[in-house]
Amino acid sequence: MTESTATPTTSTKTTPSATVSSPARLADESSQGRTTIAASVVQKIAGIAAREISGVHAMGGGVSRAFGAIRERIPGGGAGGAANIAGVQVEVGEKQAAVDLDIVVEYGASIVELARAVRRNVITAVERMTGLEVIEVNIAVNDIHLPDIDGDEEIPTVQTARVE
Amino acid sequence: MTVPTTTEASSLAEQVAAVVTSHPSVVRLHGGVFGDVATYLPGRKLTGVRIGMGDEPVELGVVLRLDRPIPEVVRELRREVSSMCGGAPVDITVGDAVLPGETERAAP
Repeated sequence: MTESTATPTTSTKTTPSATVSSPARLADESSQGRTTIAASVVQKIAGIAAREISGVHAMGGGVSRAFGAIRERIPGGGAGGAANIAGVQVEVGEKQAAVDLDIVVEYGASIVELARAVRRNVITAVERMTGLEVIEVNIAVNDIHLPDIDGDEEIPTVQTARVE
Repeated sequence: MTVPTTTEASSLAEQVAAVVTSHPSVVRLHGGVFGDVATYLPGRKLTGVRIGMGDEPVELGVVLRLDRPIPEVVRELRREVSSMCGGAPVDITVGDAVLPGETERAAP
């Protein structure tokens, strides 16, 4: 077996060698090990950054928003974490990340300006918090939220039942 | 077979786990993307740390608190763990993140 060649290195664990312990800030890949950041981490950061922009009413498409509304009412059904990642899809590589967002805008916001602000904030947050380069942020505006139906969310379902 | 190295590695894994979880930005250990980062100890499984044999890297899975940039925290963890393990390379997987306000649900 070739295991006998592996034993000497484990026996020197208490003596850190001087060459490796010097922290190379940039060349930390390959020689000192890799860093993997899971997609859910990037999803959370991007979701929070997008929500921070005023004018973003909600995140997600119709199905995921309806599902999220049900899930929030289930006790212990993942209210905190799962709500943050609705409407956020990411692709994460070793050095880069791409983000797709589904958002619902407030009525009265300039969608072009809003999308630009969301994109800027998402790129800044993800690059700062994860160190990954964000290559693209695709934004899909699914819906617009009117201030008239602000009070109760059930109005759209009532409207669909209008024709009997 | 080299039996002594396995017991050495298991106690080292417990020490590494203790050091990593004592870091203020680490919420808990994590099993990695596939849940395969673990050390099998007598009677239990230590999820989140695997000490490689020989030239293999030390693998570490963590859930971080998002109060600081991840690269900074990872760099600190790597430096600490690498010095404990004789300068071995340390592969770190950030499996999940918890917001500063968000309370972590009971770990499974």
